[in-house]
Amino acid sequence: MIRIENLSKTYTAGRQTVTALNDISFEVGKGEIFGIIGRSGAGKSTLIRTLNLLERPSQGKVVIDGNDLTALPQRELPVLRQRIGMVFQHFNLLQSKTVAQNIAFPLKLAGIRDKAAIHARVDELLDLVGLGAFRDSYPSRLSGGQKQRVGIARALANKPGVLLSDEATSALDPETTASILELLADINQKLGLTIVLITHEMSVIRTLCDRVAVLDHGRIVESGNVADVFLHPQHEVTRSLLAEGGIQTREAYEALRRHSESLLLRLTFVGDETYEPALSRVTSETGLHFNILQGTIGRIKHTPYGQLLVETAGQAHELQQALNLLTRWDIRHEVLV
Amino acid sequence: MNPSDIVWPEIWQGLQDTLVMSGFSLVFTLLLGLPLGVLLFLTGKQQLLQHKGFYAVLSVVINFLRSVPFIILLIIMMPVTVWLIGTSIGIAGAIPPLVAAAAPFYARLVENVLREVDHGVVEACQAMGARRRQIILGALIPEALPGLLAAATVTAVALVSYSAMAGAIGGGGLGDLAIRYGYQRFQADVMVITVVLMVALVQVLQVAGDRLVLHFTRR
Repeated sequence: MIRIENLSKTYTAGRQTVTALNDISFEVGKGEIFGIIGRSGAGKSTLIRTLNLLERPSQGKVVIDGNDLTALPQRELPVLRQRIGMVFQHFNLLQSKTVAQNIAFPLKLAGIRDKAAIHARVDELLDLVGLGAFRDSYPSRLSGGQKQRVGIARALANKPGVLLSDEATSALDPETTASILELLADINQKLGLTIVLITHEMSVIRTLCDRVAVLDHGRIVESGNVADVFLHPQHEVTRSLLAEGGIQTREAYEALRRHSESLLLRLTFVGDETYEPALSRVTSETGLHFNILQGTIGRIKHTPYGQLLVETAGQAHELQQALNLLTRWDIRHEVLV
Repeated sequence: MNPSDIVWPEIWQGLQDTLVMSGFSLVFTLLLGLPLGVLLFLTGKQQLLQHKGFYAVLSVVINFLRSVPFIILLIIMMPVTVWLIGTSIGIAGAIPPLVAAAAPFYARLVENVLREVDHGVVEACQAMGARRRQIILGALIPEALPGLLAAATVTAVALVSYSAMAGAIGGGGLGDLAIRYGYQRFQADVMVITVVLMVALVQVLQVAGDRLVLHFTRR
Protein backbone atom coordinates (compact mmCIF):
# COMPACT_ATOMS: atom_id res chain seq x y z
CA MET A 1 0.00 0.00 0.00
CA ILE A 2 2.68 2.45 1.04
CA ARG A 3 6.32 2.09 0.18
CA ILE A 4 8.93 4.57 1.32
CA GLU A 5 12.36 4.22 -0.23
CA ASN A 6 15.53 5.91 0.96
CA LEU A 7 13.73 9.08 1.90
CA SER A 8 15.87 12.04 2.91
CA LYS A 9 15.09 15.64 3.62
CA THR A 10 17.62 18.37 4.16
CA TYR A 11 17.04 22.04 4.80
CA THR A 12 19.42 24.88 4.41
CA ALA A 13 19.07 27.30 7.27
CA GLY A 14 21.45 30.14 6.57
CA ARG A 15 24.82 28.54 5.92
CA GLN A 16 23.97 25.34 7.79
CA THR A 17 22.50 22.25 6.28
CA VAL A 18 20.06 20.47 8.56
CA THR A 19 19.19 16.84 7.91
CA ALA A 20 15.62 16.29 9.02
CA LEU A 21 15.20 12.82 7.53
CA ASN A 22 18.05 10.47 6.82
CA ASP A 23 17.64 7.52 4.45
CA ILE A 24 14.27 6.26 5.64
CA SER A 25 12.66 3.17 4.16
CA PHE A 26 9.61 1.22 5.24
CA GLU A 27 6.51 -0.43 3.91
CA VAL A 28 2.98 -0.42 5.22
CA GLY A 29 0.56 -3.13 4.15
CA LYS A 30 -3.07 -2.60 3.26
CA GLY A 31 -5.28 -2.30 6.32
CA GLU A 32 -2.32 -2.05 8.65
CA ILE A 33 -1.89 0.56 11.37
CA PHE A 34 1.68 1.75 11.36
CA GLY A 35 2.97 3.97 14.12
CA ILE A 36 6.00 6.22 14.08
CA ILE A 37 7.21 7.31 17.48
CA GLY A 38 9.95 9.69 18.50
CA ARG A 39 10.74 12.67 20.63
CA SER A 40 9.98 16.16 19.42
CA GLY A 41 12.56 17.16 16.89
CA ALA A 42 13.13 13.58 15.78
CA GLY A 43 11.61 14.35 12.39
CA LYS A 44 8.21 12.69 12.84
CA SER A 45 6.22 15.63 11.56
CA THR A 46 8.45 16.09 8.55
CA LEU A 47 8.21 12.39 7.80
CA ILE A 48 4.41 12.20 7.81
CA ARG A 49 4.20 15.40 5.78
CA THR A 50 6.39 13.89 3.09
CA LEU A 51 3.92 11.02 2.70
CA ASN A 52 1.44 13.30 0.93
CA LEU A 53 4.17 15.63 -0.28
CA LEU A 54 3.14 18.59 1.85
CA GLU A 55 6.89 18.48 2.27
CA ARG A 56 8.86 17.50 -0.80
CA PRO A 57 11.67 15.06 0.07
CA SER A 58 15.19 15.91 -1.07
CA GLN A 59 15.75 12.31 -2.06
CA GLY A 60 13.90 9.05 -2.20
CA LYS A 61 10.52 7.78 -3.27
CA VAL A 62 7.03 7.81 -1.83
CA VAL A 63 4.89 5.16 -3.50
CA ILE A 64 1.26 4.92 -2.47
CA ASP A 65 -1.04 2.38 -4.06
CA GLY A 66 1.40 1.91 -6.90
CA ASN A 67 1.68 5.64 -7.65
CA ASP A 68 5.07 7.22 -7.22
CA LEU A 69 4.07 10.59 -5.75
CA THR A 70 7.58 11.97 -5.99
CA ALA A 71 7.55 11.47 -9.77
CA LEU A 72 4.25 13.31 -10.30
CA PRO A 73 4.18 16.88 -11.54
CA GLN A 74 2.90 19.35 -8.94
CA ARG A 75 -0.37 19.94 -10.77
CA GLU A 76 -1.38 16.29 -10.57
CA LEU A 77 -0.81 16.04 -6.83
CA PRO A 78 -4.23 17.39 -5.72
CA VAL A 79 -6.13 14.52 -7.34
CA LEU A 80 -3.92 11.98 -5.58
CA ARG A 81 -4.13 13.77 -2.27
CA GLN A 82 -7.90 13.38 -2.38
CA ARG A 83 -7.23 9.66 -1.93
CA ILE A 84 -5.09 10.26 1.17
CA GLY A 85 -6.87 11.56 4.26
CA MET A 86 -5.02 13.50 6.92
CA VAL A 87 -5.88 14.52 10.48
CA PHE A 88 -3.99 17.09 12.50
CA GLN A 89 -3.03 17.76 16.09
CA HIS A 90 -4.85 21.08 16.07
CA PHE A 91 -7.71 19.82 13.88
CA ASN A 92 -7.32 22.67 11.34
CA LEU A 93 -11.04 22.98 10.72
CA LEU A 94 -12.50 25.92 8.84
CA GLN A 95 -13.92 28.17 11.56
CA SER A 96 -16.19 29.92 9.08
CA LYS A 97 -17.97 26.74 8.07
CA THR A 98 -20.38 24.50 9.96
CA VAL A 99 -19.56 20.89 10.80
CA ALA A 100 -21.49 19.72 7.73
CA GLN A 101 -19.82 22.30 5.50
CA ASN A 102 -16.40 21.29 6.79
CA ILE A 103 -17.07 17.67 5.93
CA ALA A 104 -18.56 18.61 2.56
CA PHE A 105 -15.53 20.77 1.67
CA PRO A 106 -13.29 17.95 0.37
CA LEU A 107 -16.24 16.55 -1.60
CA LYS A 108 -16.65 19.91 -3.33
CA LEU A 109 -12.91 20.07 -3.93
CA ALA A 110 -13.18 16.72 -5.66
CA GLY A 111 -15.71 18.24 -8.04
CA ILE A 112 -18.90 16.70 -6.67
CA ARG A 113 -21.75 19.10 -7.48
CA ASP A 114 -24.78 16.92 -6.69
CA LYS A 115 -26.19 18.46 -3.51
CA ALA A 116 -28.23 15.43 -2.54
CA ALA A 117 -25.18 13.18 -2.89
CA ILE A 118 -23.09 15.51 -0.75
CA HIS A 119 -25.83 15.70 1.87
CA ALA A 120 -26.13 11.94 2.02
CA ARG A 121 -22.39 11.39 2.27
CA VAL A 122 -22.09 14.01 5.03
CA ASP A 123 -24.88 12.28 6.99
CA GLU A 124 -23.14 8.95 6.58
CA LEU A 125 -19.86 10.39 7.90
CA LEU A 126 -21.53 12.21 10.79
CA ASP A 127 -23.06 8.90 11.73
CA LEU A 128 -19.72 7.13 11.53
CA VAL A 129 -18.04 9.58 13.91
CA GLY A 130 -21.11 9.98 16.12
CA LEU A 131 -21.75 13.68 15.58
CA GLY A 132 -25.20 13.60 14.02
CA ALA A 133 -26.54 16.20 16.44
CA PHE A 134 -23.86 18.75 15.54
CA ARG A 135 -24.50 19.00 11.81
CA ASP A 136 -25.07 22.77 11.80
CA SER A 137 -22.81 23.77 14.70
CA TYR A 138 -19.70 25.84 14.11
CA PRO A 139 -16.38 24.32 15.25
CA SER A 140 -15.96 26.94 17.97
CA ARG A 141 -18.91 25.35 19.79
CA LEU A 142 -17.32 21.89 19.87
CA SER A 143 -14.98 20.27 22.38
CA GLY A 144 -11.51 19.11 21.31
CA GLY A 145 -12.62 15.52 20.89
CA GLN A 146 -15.61 16.56 18.81
CA LYS A 147 -13.40 18.74 16.64
CA GLN A 148 -11.11 15.81 15.99
CA ARG A 149 -14.12 13.70 15.05
CA VAL A 150 -15.04 16.32 12.47
CA GLY A 151 -11.41 16.24 11.30
CA ILE A 152 -11.61 12.47 10.90
CA ALA A 153 -14.95 12.63 9.08
CA ARG A 154 -13.52 15.28 6.76
CA ALA A 155 -10.43 13.16 6.09
CA LEU A 156 -12.61 10.18 5.18
CA ALA A 157 -15.04 12.08 2.96
CA ASN A 158 -13.51 11.04 -0.35
CA LYS A 159 -13.13 7.41 0.76
CA PRO A 160 -9.34 7.41 0.89
CA GLY A 161 -7.33 4.20 1.15
CA VAL A 162 -4.83 5.80 3.51
CA LEU A 163 -5.24 7.98 6.58
CA LEU A 164 -2.31 10.00 7.89
CA SER A 165 -2.55 11.07 11.50
CA ASP A 166 -0.26 13.85 12.65
CA GLU A 167 -0.35 13.68 16.48
CA ALA A 168 -4.15 13.46 16.30
CA THR A 169 -4.59 12.91 20.03
CA SER A 170 -1.76 15.01 21.41
CA ALA A 171 -3.98 18.00 22.17
CA LEU A 172 -6.62 15.90 23.91
CA ASP A 173 -7.11 14.71 27.48
CA PRO A 174 -6.59 10.99 28.25
CA GLU A 175 -10.26 10.07 28.18
CA THR A 176 -10.90 11.82 24.88
CA THR A 177 -7.69 10.33 23.51
CA ALA A 178 -9.00 6.87 24.31
CA SER A 179 -12.28 7.53 22.51
CA ILE A 180 -10.53 8.92 19.42
CA LEU A 181 -8.17 5.91 19.33
CA GLU A 182 -11.20 3.66 19.58
CA LEU A 183 -12.77 5.48 16.64
CA LEU A 184 -9.58 5.08 14.59
CA ALA A 185 -9.42 1.37 15.39
CA ASP A 186 -13.09 1.12 14.46
CA ILE A 187 -12.71 2.75 11.03
CA ASN A 188 -9.59 0.71 10.40
CA GLN A 189 -11.70 -2.42 10.94
CA LYS A 190 -14.86 -1.26 9.18
CA LEU A 191 -13.28 0.38 6.16
CA GLY A 192 -10.05 -1.60 5.87
CA LEU A 193 -8.26 1.72 5.99
CA THR A 194 -4.48 1.83 6.14
CA ILE A 195 -3.36 4.22 8.87
CA VAL A 196 0.02 5.83 9.37
CA LEU A 197 0.28 7.82 12.56
CA ILE A 198 2.94 9.72 14.37
CA THR A 199 2.94 10.26 18.10
CA HIS A 200 5.22 10.79 21.03
CA GLU A 201 3.00 8.69 23.30
CA MET A 202 3.83 5.00 23.71
CA SER A 203 0.28 4.35 24.90
CA VAL A 204 -1.09 5.37 21.49
CA ILE A 205 1.21 2.87 19.79
CA ARG A 206 0.30 0.16 22.29
CA THR A 207 -3.45 0.47 21.94
CA LEU A 208 -3.69 1.07 18.22
CA CYS A 209 -0.72 -0.01 16.13
CA ASP A 210 0.26 -3.27 14.48
CA ARG A 211 3.78 -2.21 13.72
CA VAL A 212 5.96 0.59 14.95
CA ALA A 213 9.07 2.45 13.86
CA VAL A 214 11.15 4.44 16.31
CA LEU A 215 12.53 7.64 14.85
CA ASP A 216 15.54 9.43 16.28
CA HIS A 217 17.51 12.25 14.68
CA GLY A 218 15.83 11.63 11.36
CA ARG A 219 16.64 7.91 11.27
CA ILE A 220 14.59 4.82 12.00
CA VAL A 221 16.56 3.18 14.81
CA GLU A 222 14.22 0.29 15.42
CA SER A 223 11.08 -1.13 13.88
CA GLY A 224 8.92 -4.20 14.01
CA ASN A 225 5.76 -5.64 15.48
CA VAL A 226 4.58 -3.59 18.41
CA ALA A 227 4.72 -6.51 20.86
CA ASP A 228 8.32 -7.33 19.91
CA VAL A 229 9.52 -3.76 20.10
CA PHE A 230 7.72 -3.15 23.38
CA LEU A 231 8.80 -6.28 25.15
CA HIS A 232 12.34 -6.47 23.79
CA PRO A 233 13.44 -2.98 22.93
CA GLN A 234 16.88 -3.03 21.30
CA HIS A 235 17.68 0.64 21.02
CA GLU A 236 18.42 3.10 23.79
CA VAL A 237 15.85 5.60 22.51
CA THR A 238 13.12 2.99 22.50
CA ARG A 239 13.97 2.00 26.06
CA SER A 240 13.82 5.53 27.30
CA LEU A 241 10.52 6.15 25.50
CA LEU A 242 9.17 3.01 27.15
CA ALA A 243 10.41 4.12 30.54
CA GLU A 244 8.33 7.27 30.18
CA GLY A 245 5.37 5.10 29.34
CA GLY A 246 5.68 3.42 32.75
CA ILE A 247 7.85 0.48 31.70
CA GLN A 248 11.16 0.51 33.56
CA THR A 249 14.61 0.60 32.02
CA ARG A 250 17.36 -1.88 32.69
CA GLU A 251 19.27 0.71 34.70
CA ALA A 252 16.36 1.14 37.05
CA TYR A 253 16.35 -2.57 37.82
CA GLU A 254 19.87 -2.66 39.15
CA ALA A 255 18.83 -0.76 42.22
CA LEU A 256 16.21 -3.41 42.95
CA ARG A 257 18.59 -6.33 43.52
CA ARG A 258 19.07 -7.07 47.22
CA HIS A 259 21.66 -9.86 47.25
CA SER A 260 24.77 -9.46 45.19
CA GLU A 261 24.96 -13.25 44.60
CA SER A 262 21.40 -13.50 43.24
CA LEU A 263 20.30 -12.95 39.67
CA LEU A 264 17.74 -10.53 38.40
CA LEU A 265 15.64 -12.05 35.62
CA ARG A 266 13.05 -10.60 33.34
CA LEU A 267 10.53 -13.11 32.07
CA THR A 268 8.23 -12.26 29.21
CA PHE A 269 5.08 -14.13 28.34
CA VAL A 270 3.21 -13.40 25.14
CA GLY A 271 -0.17 -14.76 24.08
CA ASP A 272 -1.69 -17.77 25.84
CA GLU A 273 1.45 -18.58 27.83
CA THR A 274 0.61 -15.44 29.82
CA TYR A 275 -1.95 -17.52 31.67
CA GLU A 276 0.36 -20.49 32.49
CA PRO A 277 1.73 -20.96 36.06
CA ALA A 278 5.29 -21.21 34.77
CA LEU A 279 7.12 -19.92 37.83
CA SER A 280 5.66 -22.35 40.34
CA ARG A 281 6.40 -25.21 37.94
CA VAL A 282 10.04 -24.19 37.80
CA THR A 283 10.18 -24.03 41.58
CA SER A 284 8.60 -27.45 42.04
CA GLU A 285 10.95 -29.07 39.51
CA THR A 286 14.23 -27.39 40.49
CA GLY A 287 13.80 -26.09 44.02
CA LEU A 288 14.80 -22.57 42.93
CA HIS A 289 12.74 -19.85 44.55
CA PHE A 290 11.70 -16.58 43.04
CA ASN A 291 11.06 -13.27 44.62
CA ILE A 292 8.75 -11.24 42.39
CA LEU A 293 9.87 -7.61 42.38
CA GLN A 294 7.65 -6.23 39.72
CA GLY A 295 5.02 -7.51 37.35
CA THR A 296 2.80 -6.31 34.55
CA ILE A 297 0.06 -7.99 32.68
CA GLY A 298 -1.60 -6.17 29.85
CA ARG A 299 -2.53 -6.09 26.24
CA ILE A 300 -0.70 -4.78 23.24
CA LYS A 301 -3.49 -4.18 20.77
CA HIS A 302 -5.12 -7.64 20.91
CA THR A 303 -2.19 -9.65 22.26
CA PRO A 304 -2.07 -10.40 25.99
CA TYR A 305 1.37 -10.15 27.50
CA GLY A 306 2.96 -10.42 30.90
CA GLN A 307 6.31 -9.34 32.13
CA LEU A 308 7.80 -10.33 35.49
CA LEU A 309 10.88 -9.07 37.18
CA VAL A 310 12.17 -11.69 39.61
CA GLU A 311 15.14 -12.16 41.86
CA THR A 312 16.37 -15.73 42.23
CA ALA A 313 17.08 -17.41 45.58
CA GLY A 314 18.83 -20.78 45.50
CA GLN A 315 21.90 -22.81 44.59
CA ALA A 316 23.88 -22.33 41.40
CA HIS A 317 22.93 -25.76 39.99
CA GLU A 318 19.24 -25.07 40.69
CA LEU A 319 19.57 -21.82 38.82
CA GLN A 320 21.18 -23.52 35.81
CA GLN A 321 18.41 -26.11 35.75
CA ALA A 322 15.78 -23.42 35.95
CA LEU A 323 17.24 -21.49 33.06
CA ASN A 324 17.35 -24.68 31.00
CA LEU A 325 13.69 -25.30 31.77
CA LEU A 326 12.67 -21.80 30.75
CA THR A 327 14.52 -22.21 27.49
CA ARG A 328 12.91 -25.58 26.92
CA TRP A 329 9.47 -24.14 27.58
CA ASP A 330 10.21 -21.31 25.21
CA ILE A 331 9.69 -18.62 27.79
CA ARG A 332 11.64 -15.54 26.92
CA HIS A 333 14.00 -14.65 29.78
CA GLU A 334 16.79 -12.18 30.15
CA VAL A 335 19.41 -12.04 32.86
CA LEU A 336 19.51 -8.38 33.75
CA VAL A 337 22.19 -8.29 36.47
CA MET B 1 -24.11 85.66 12.91
CA ASN B 2 -27.73 85.01 12.15
CA PRO B 3 -28.94 81.38 12.09
CA SER B 4 -30.92 82.18 8.94
CA ASP B 5 -27.60 82.69 7.19
CA ILE B 6 -26.92 78.98 7.43
CA VAL B 7 -27.13 77.62 3.93
CA TRP B 8 -29.10 74.41 4.59
CA PRO B 9 -29.57 73.43 0.93
CA GLU B 10 -25.81 73.69 0.42
CA ILE B 11 -25.16 71.64 3.53
CA TRP B 12 -27.59 69.01 2.32
CA GLN B 13 -25.88 69.02 -1.06
CA GLY B 14 -22.49 68.80 0.66
CA LEU B 15 -23.58 65.78 2.68
CA GLN B 16 -24.79 64.04 -0.47
CA ASP B 17 -21.54 64.87 -2.25
CA THR B 18 -19.49 63.47 0.61
CA LEU B 19 -21.57 60.29 0.61
CA VAL B 20 -21.22 59.89 -3.16
CA MET B 21 -17.46 60.58 -3.10
CA SER B 22 -16.72 58.27 -0.18
CA GLY B 23 -19.17 55.62 -1.39
CA PHE B 24 -17.82 55.33 -4.92
CA SER B 25 -14.25 55.57 -3.68
CA LEU B 26 -14.93 52.79 -1.18
CA VAL B 27 -16.30 50.50 -3.88
CA PHE B 28 -13.29 51.06 -6.15
CA THR B 29 -10.91 50.84 -3.20
CA LEU B 30 -12.26 47.44 -2.21
CA LEU B 31 -12.31 46.21 -5.81
CA LEU B 32 -8.69 47.23 -6.26
CA GLY B 33 -7.34 46.80 -2.75
CA LEU B 34 -8.67 43.31 -2.04
CA PRO B 35 -6.95 41.56 -4.98
CA LEU B 36 -3.86 43.67 -4.39
CA GLY B 37 -3.79 42.68 -0.72
CA VAL B 38 -4.38 39.01 -1.55
CA LEU B 39 -1.54 39.15 -4.07
CA LEU B 40 0.71 40.84 -1.54
CA PHE B 41 -0.08 38.12 0.99
CA LEU B 42 0.34 35.23 -1.44
CA THR B 43 3.70 36.39 -2.77
CA GLY B 44 5.00 36.91 0.76
CA LYS B 45 7.46 34.67 2.57
CA GLN B 46 6.41 31.01 2.96
CA GLN B 47 3.14 31.59 1.14
CA LEU B 48 1.48 29.87 -1.80
CA LEU B 49 2.92 32.11 -4.53
CA GLN B 50 6.10 33.15 -2.73
CA HIS B 51 8.02 35.54 -4.98
CA LYS B 52 10.62 37.73 -3.34
CA GLY B 53 11.06 40.20 -6.19
CA PHE B 54 7.37 40.71 -6.94
CA TYR B 55 6.57 41.14 -3.27
CA ALA B 56 9.36 43.70 -2.81
CA VAL B 57 8.24 45.81 -5.78
CA LEU B 58 4.56 45.71 -4.84
CA SER B 59 5.42 46.48 -1.25
CA VAL B 60 7.49 49.53 -2.18
CA VAL B 61 4.75 50.90 -4.47
CA ILE B 62 2.18 50.46 -1.71
CA ASN B 63 4.41 52.09 0.87
CA PHE B 64 5.08 54.98 -1.50
CA LEU B 65 1.38 55.66 -2.07
CA ARG B 66 0.71 55.39 1.65
CA SER B 67 3.49 57.72 2.68
CA VAL B 68 2.86 60.61 0.26
CA PRO B 69 0.72 63.17 2.12
CA PHE B 70 -2.79 63.04 0.68
CA ILE B 71 -2.84 66.72 -0.23
CA ILE B 72 0.30 66.17 -2.36
CA LEU B 73 -1.17 62.99 -3.86
CA LEU B 74 -4.20 65.05 -4.94
CA ILE B 75 -1.88 67.27 -6.97
CA ILE B 76 0.35 64.50 -8.33
CA MET B 77 -2.73 62.55 -9.44
CA MET B 78 -4.23 65.44 -11.47
CA PRO B 79 -2.92 64.39 -14.91
CA VAL B 80 -3.86 60.78 -14.25
CA THR B 81 -7.33 61.82 -13.16
CA VAL B 82 -7.82 63.94 -16.29
CA TRP B 83 -6.65 61.03 -18.42
CA LEU B 84 -9.01 58.64 -16.61
CA ILE B 85 -12.24 60.60 -16.45
CA GLY B 86 -11.62 63.81 -18.36
CA THR B 87 -11.57 66.21 -15.40
CA SER B 88 -9.64 66.68 -12.20
CA ILE B 89 -12.21 68.70 -10.33
CA GLY B 90 -15.64 68.10 -8.86
CA ILE B 91 -16.81 64.97 -7.15
CA ALA B 92 -15.75 62.70 -9.99
CA GLY B 93 -12.31 64.29 -10.03
CA ALA B 94 -11.84 63.51 -6.35
CA ILE B 95 -12.51 59.80 -6.69
CA PRO B 96 -9.28 58.64 -8.43
CA PRO B 97 -6.94 60.28 -5.91
CA LEU B 98 -9.09 58.96 -3.06
CA VAL B 99 -8.83 55.44 -4.47
CA ALA B 100 -5.10 55.89 -5.11
CA ALA B 101 -4.64 56.73 -1.45
CA ALA B 102 -7.06 54.22 0.08
CA ALA B 103 -6.52 51.11 -2.07
CA PRO B 104 -2.88 50.61 -0.98
CA PHE B 105 -3.93 51.25 2.59
CA TYR B 106 -6.64 48.61 2.36
CA ALA B 107 -4.30 46.22 0.54
CA ARG B 108 -1.84 46.37 3.42
CA LEU B 109 -4.63 45.76 5.93
CA VAL B 110 -5.82 42.79 3.85
CA GLU B 111 -2.32 41.32 3.88
CA ASN B 112 -2.20 41.57 7.67
CA VAL B 113 -5.65 40.07 8.09
CA LEU B 114 -4.78 37.11 5.84
CA ARG B 115 -1.57 36.51 7.78
CA GLU B 116 -3.71 35.97 10.85
CA VAL B 117 -5.44 33.01 9.25
CA ASP B 118 -4.06 29.83 10.81
CA HIS B 119 -1.54 28.34 8.41
CA GLY B 120 -2.73 24.90 9.48
CA VAL B 121 -5.99 25.56 7.66
CA VAL B 122 -4.13 26.20 4.41
CA GLU B 123 -2.13 23.04 5.00
CA ALA B 124 -5.28 21.01 5.66
CA CYS B 125 -6.71 22.29 2.37
CA GLN B 126 -3.56 21.24 0.53
CA ALA B 127 -3.73 17.84 2.15
CA MET B 128 -7.35 17.52 0.98
CA GLY B 129 -6.17 18.14 -2.56
CA ALA B 130 -7.32 21.76 -2.91
CA ARG B 131 -5.86 23.75 -5.74
CA ARG B 132 -4.55 27.25 -5.12
CA ARG B 133 -7.67 28.99 -6.40
CA GLN B 134 -9.82 26.74 -4.19
CA ILE B 135 -7.69 27.47 -1.15
CA ILE B 136 -7.89 31.23 -1.70
CA LEU B 137 -11.58 31.49 -2.53
CA GLY B 138 -12.86 28.55 -0.53
CA ALA B 139 -10.85 28.85 2.65
CA LEU B 140 -8.56 31.87 3.05
CA ILE B 141 -11.08 34.59 2.23
CA PRO B 142 -14.06 33.05 4.06
CA GLU B 143 -11.84 32.45 7.12
CA ALA B 144 -10.61 36.05 7.00
CA LEU B 145 -14.01 37.60 6.25
CA PRO B 146 -14.61 39.24 9.65
CA GLY B 147 -11.12 40.76 9.54
CA LEU B 148 -11.58 41.91 5.95
CA LEU B 149 -14.83 43.63 6.91
CA ALA B 150 -13.22 45.31 9.91
CA ALA B 151 -10.42 46.54 7.65
CA ALA B 152 -13.00 47.81 5.14
CA THR B 153 -14.67 49.77 7.95
CA VAL B 154 -11.40 51.41 8.94
CA THR B 155 -10.80 52.24 5.28
CA ALA B 156 -14.30 53.69 4.87
CA VAL B 157 -13.75 56.00 7.83
CA ALA B 158 -10.40 57.09 6.42
CA LEU B 159 -12.08 57.78 3.09
CA VAL B 160 -14.65 60.08 4.71
CA SER B 161 -11.93 62.17 6.26
CA TYR B 162 -9.80 62.13 3.08
CA SER B 163 -12.84 63.18 1.07
CA ALA B 164 -13.08 66.29 3.23
CA MET B 165 -9.52 67.14 2.19
CA ALA B 166 -10.36 66.48 -1.45
CA GLY B 167 -12.87 69.29 -1.05
CA ALA B 168 -9.93 71.66 -0.72
CA ILE B 169 -9.06 71.32 -4.39
CA GLY B 170 -12.60 71.74 -5.58
CA GLY B 171 -13.91 68.31 -4.82
CA GLY B 172 -17.06 69.51 -3.13
CA GLY B 173 -18.67 67.84 -0.14
CA LEU B 174 -18.77 68.71 3.53
CA GLY B 175 -15.05 69.42 3.76
CA ASP B 176 -15.37 71.95 0.95
CA LEU B 177 -18.23 73.66 2.81
CA ALA B 178 -16.29 73.76 6.04
CA ILE B 179 -13.42 75.51 4.31
CA ARG B 180 -15.45 77.93 2.20
CA TYR B 181 -18.00 79.00 4.80
CA GLY B 182 -16.36 78.15 8.07
CA TYR B 183 -12.79 79.15 7.32
CA GLN B 184 -12.93 81.68 4.52
CA ARG B 185 -16.15 83.46 5.59
CA PHE B 186 -15.79 82.98 9.34
CA GLN B 187 -19.17 81.22 9.57
CA ALA B 188 -18.30 79.11 12.56
CA ASP B 189 -21.82 77.64 12.79
CA VAL B 190 -21.55 76.14 9.31
CA MET B 191 -18.20 74.66 10.27
CA VAL B 192 -19.69 73.17 13.45
CA ILE B 193 -22.62 71.69 11.54
CA THR B 194 -20.38 70.10 8.91
CA VAL B 195 -18.07 68.72 11.55
CA VAL B 196 -21.01 67.30 13.51
CA LEU B 197 -22.33 65.71 10.35
CA MET B 198 -18.93 64.17 9.60
CA VAL B 199 -18.65 62.81 13.13
CA ALA B 200 -22.14 61.34 12.86
CA LEU B 201 -21.30 59.78 9.49
CA VAL B 202 -18.17 58.17 10.88
CA GLN B 203 -20.12 56.88 13.88
CA VAL B 204 -22.76 55.32 11.65
CA LEU B 205 -20.09 53.70 9.48
CA GLN B 206 -18.23 52.29 12.46
CA VAL B 207 -21.33 50.88 14.14
CA ALA B 208 -22.55 49.35 10.89
CA GLY B 209 -19.12 47.88 10.24
CA ASP B 210 -18.90 46.40 13.74
CA ARG B 211 -22.33 44.81 13.35
CA LEU B 212 -21.33 43.27 10.05
CA VAL B 213 -18.12 41.90 11.54
CA LEU B 214 -20.03 40.40 14.45
CA HIS B 215 -22.55 38.85 12.10
CA PHE B 216 -19.81 36.95 10.27
CA THR B 217 -17.75 36.00 13.32
CA ARG B 218 -17.97 32.29 14.14
CA ARG B 219 -15.64 32.14 17.11
